[in-house]
Amino acid sequence: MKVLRDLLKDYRFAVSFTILLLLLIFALLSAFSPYDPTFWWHAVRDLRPSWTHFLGTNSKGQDIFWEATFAVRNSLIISVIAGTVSRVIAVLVGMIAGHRGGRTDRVLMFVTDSFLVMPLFLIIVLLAMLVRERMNLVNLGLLLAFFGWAWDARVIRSQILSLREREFTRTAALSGTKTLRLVMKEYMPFATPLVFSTLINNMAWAIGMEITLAILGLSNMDVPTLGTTLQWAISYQALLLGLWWWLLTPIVLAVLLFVALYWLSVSISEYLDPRTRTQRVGGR
Amino acid sequence: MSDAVARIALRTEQLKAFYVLDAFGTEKVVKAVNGVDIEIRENELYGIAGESGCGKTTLLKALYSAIEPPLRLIAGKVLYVCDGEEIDIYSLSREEKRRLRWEYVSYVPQGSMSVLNPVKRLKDTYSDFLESHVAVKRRRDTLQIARKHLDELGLPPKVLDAYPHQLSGGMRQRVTIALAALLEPRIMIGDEPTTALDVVVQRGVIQLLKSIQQKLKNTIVLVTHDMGVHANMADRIGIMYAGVMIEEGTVERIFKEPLHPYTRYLINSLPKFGDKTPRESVPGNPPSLAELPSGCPFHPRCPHATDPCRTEMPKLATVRPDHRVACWKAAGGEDARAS
Amino acid sequence: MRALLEIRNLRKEFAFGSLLSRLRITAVDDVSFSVMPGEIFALAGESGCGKTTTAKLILGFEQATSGSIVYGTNGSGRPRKREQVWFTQGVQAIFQNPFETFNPLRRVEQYFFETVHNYRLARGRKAAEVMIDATLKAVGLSFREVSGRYPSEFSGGQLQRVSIARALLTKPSLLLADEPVSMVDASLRISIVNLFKQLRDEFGVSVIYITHDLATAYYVCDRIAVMFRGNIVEIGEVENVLMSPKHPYTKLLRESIPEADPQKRWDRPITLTDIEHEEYLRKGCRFAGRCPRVMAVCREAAPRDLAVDGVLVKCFLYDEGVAVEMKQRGGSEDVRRTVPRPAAND
Repeated sequence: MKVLRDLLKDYRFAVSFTILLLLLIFALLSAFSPYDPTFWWHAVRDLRPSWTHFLGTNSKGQDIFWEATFAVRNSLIISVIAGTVSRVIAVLVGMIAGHRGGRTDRVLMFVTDSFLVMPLFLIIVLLAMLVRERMNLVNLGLLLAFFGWAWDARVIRSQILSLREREFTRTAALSGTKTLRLVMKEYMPFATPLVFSTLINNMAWAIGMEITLAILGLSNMDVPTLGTTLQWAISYQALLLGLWWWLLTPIVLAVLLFVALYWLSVSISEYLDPRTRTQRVGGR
Repeated sequence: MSDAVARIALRTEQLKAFYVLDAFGTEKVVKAVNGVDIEIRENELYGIAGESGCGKTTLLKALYSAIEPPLRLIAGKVLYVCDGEEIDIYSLSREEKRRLRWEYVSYVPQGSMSVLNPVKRLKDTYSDFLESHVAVKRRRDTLQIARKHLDELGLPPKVLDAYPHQLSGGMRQRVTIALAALLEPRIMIGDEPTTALDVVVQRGVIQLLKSIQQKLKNTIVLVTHDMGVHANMADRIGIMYAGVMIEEGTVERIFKEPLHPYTRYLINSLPKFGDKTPRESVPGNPPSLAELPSGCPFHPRCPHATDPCRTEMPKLATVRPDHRVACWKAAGGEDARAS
Repeated sequence: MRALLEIRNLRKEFAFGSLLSRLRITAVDDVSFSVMPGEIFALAGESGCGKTTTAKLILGFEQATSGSIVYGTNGSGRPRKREQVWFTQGVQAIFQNPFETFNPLRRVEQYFFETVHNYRLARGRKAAEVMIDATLKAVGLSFREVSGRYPSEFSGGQLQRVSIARALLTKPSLLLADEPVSMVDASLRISIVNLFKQLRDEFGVSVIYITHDLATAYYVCDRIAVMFRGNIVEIGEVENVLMSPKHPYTKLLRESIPEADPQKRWDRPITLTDIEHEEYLRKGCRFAGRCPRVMAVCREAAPRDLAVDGVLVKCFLYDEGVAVEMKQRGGSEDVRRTVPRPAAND
């Protein structure tokens, strides 16, 4: 499509898109894994990278390459769930508060602000400790979503507030468009870049939180994610033992993921910015 | 003003300034100033008229040497005549330019708030201004100078104690103009100083500009699309269209005997009190500066367009004393003398 | 002939400030006028005179503090819900900045299709296109020219025409035009204003033309109301009001318009105000601070509407009761100042 071609001209998008595509393929490879990720001792321990084991093996006797495919897959799942659910909440809250104003706005903002000032990290840690046994991917995603919408709700609300004063809102009203349709059709094109860039940022945040929770030992260690594989490596003293392939794999993958997500978010939001968009859509 | 040996204060030579825009791989060149030759004299009020998108604001920026990317100076020169010598302002160093500005040539922008610091009282703005350009010993001296200056221009000196937001829009604009005139510059350049002001306030601003010009006997170059303002202020007017100057003459000539078809349409379409006869506006639409028509830029809308109009750009030629036109038909259809 | 729109004693107050100090500004103060079918009526004045607020009240975007707005076709009082005004009263509006009138990220035709759909003007896309094309042709454009394009692809004049076409789609009997040509180039203004004349003559549409440009108001309008700080100070036929103005403010306004004629330059200096909102809070006549013919009574009481030569003027100068009182007090208290030098106190 034309949009993709335009975006690919930006080197940041091109690079990050490629990296993400590769990581996605990498994650999909997990479906073909010859090993079950929760089992140990299916390979010889602590082997260096070789042709039989591309990234070597770890002290639990698992092939690191295939573990990593699961790790990336699971981290992505968590972050996608966290990102999308929190977007939905943020958009709903932001739009309703921004458009209605008055009491609805005040109540919603009170709730939003409460979430903002809460010590998120402590509460997540607390909750994670409490539900550690029942923590699976989806639950973790939802937990992170529950705490990740507040800031962006405020951002979207401000956008709506400023749009409400613009003249085309009146034109739409004079054209007979009712409120809900008006908000969707007139304001969404402005809100979309916000939603996109915050989605990607939120995903990156979710991955980071997951890794942090894992390092603190609060995740379910049986499920391989970027965080848990890193935590296993640390707890088995991989650095001291010189098992660098075990330690580096999750680190490199995480860094690649972060950088790619960041560049993607930056290039997309620049592309979608209404100011540059209007320059592109017209001849004048 | 039609002094045969009138001295020139500022002139341009085939000035070309384009905006070069590059978005996602597509390049767009906007030819805002496309070969402009003018001579502005001392002790005159020169008006530049034209509509939005004709390039007059870019011309002003080029005259004031306020060219920043994506605007680029493509060709031509802007020459100021200082003490008998011609200076190419684009060859000056930054420090020299800084001194030239405000002392020799000052700029009045459209919105006064871009010049006045909103968190400082006016007297502080005036004092800072004076101190950075003139050596004064004490702050009190600067205040005295400022007060005297405002008083001479008919503005109440008490406004110096106020913050900009406390004054009305009209008063702010007048104070900004007074600031621009503070160092008695030889040339003042105004970019739509009266647009967006109320009619009565506009009259006050124009009054102020005229009294400044009479007092300092300097040159004021005024850009506005409001022909009524030009009629009330200017000595000579230059009409711009699609990046070129298409007619230039004394204010009486332009209003009573316009030669270029566009100017004719323009003058005829201005409503006058006491006359309700139907009027016509210029047919068609102004061209986009990124996609200019070939030859004369007005030819797609001109009812008199003939062959040379479509292919060759007519030069701005002197047709009568102090009256130049860039039109094949008005210039007699032959290659007229270059001005 | 029944009036299309009748405004009686309309009043709108805005309150500013915090709990401790509240400033009340009456943006629209006791405004009354009516608009007949098939006429172009001008509401003229400078910024801050209340004309835009009046427009918002008529359209229902704001609620009046008191007074009534009666629409001829249905005769209801104050509109209860905004939708009533547009759906049932045949009122539409166009605004000053055509580039703000449309969402820069949407194609302009979408507003047309939405209007057709919401007002149930045609069934099916084909029928809608035909209708839209006809309306666009009435303003000098066509559907082919407009289709698929974004607002930034048009010039100001063209886009304003598109805006007018959208307003005409519902066949309104009243069109409210808020400064429709102030952002359009001078050479194209007359064509838009001529369009209003055409609408009046061919389709019988009435136009409320809100402007600060008295020259175009003179050219196109039938009647005019001059507003100053929330009051209508003079109202009548445009020939009468603008060619022989009675109210001192109208005179000042008329004289201050720079005429496109180098022979008619200004010869006298004028005085301007420094602080604007003071004028809103004056007791008595709001123009008293600047009026060259101010009398003592002007500062005390608010003048009422007086009929003089076919126009209504709000000025004590024409109040015979006041004149008699002046004579009785012996000698004129009419402080006839010459146009004052800009003094420090004004």
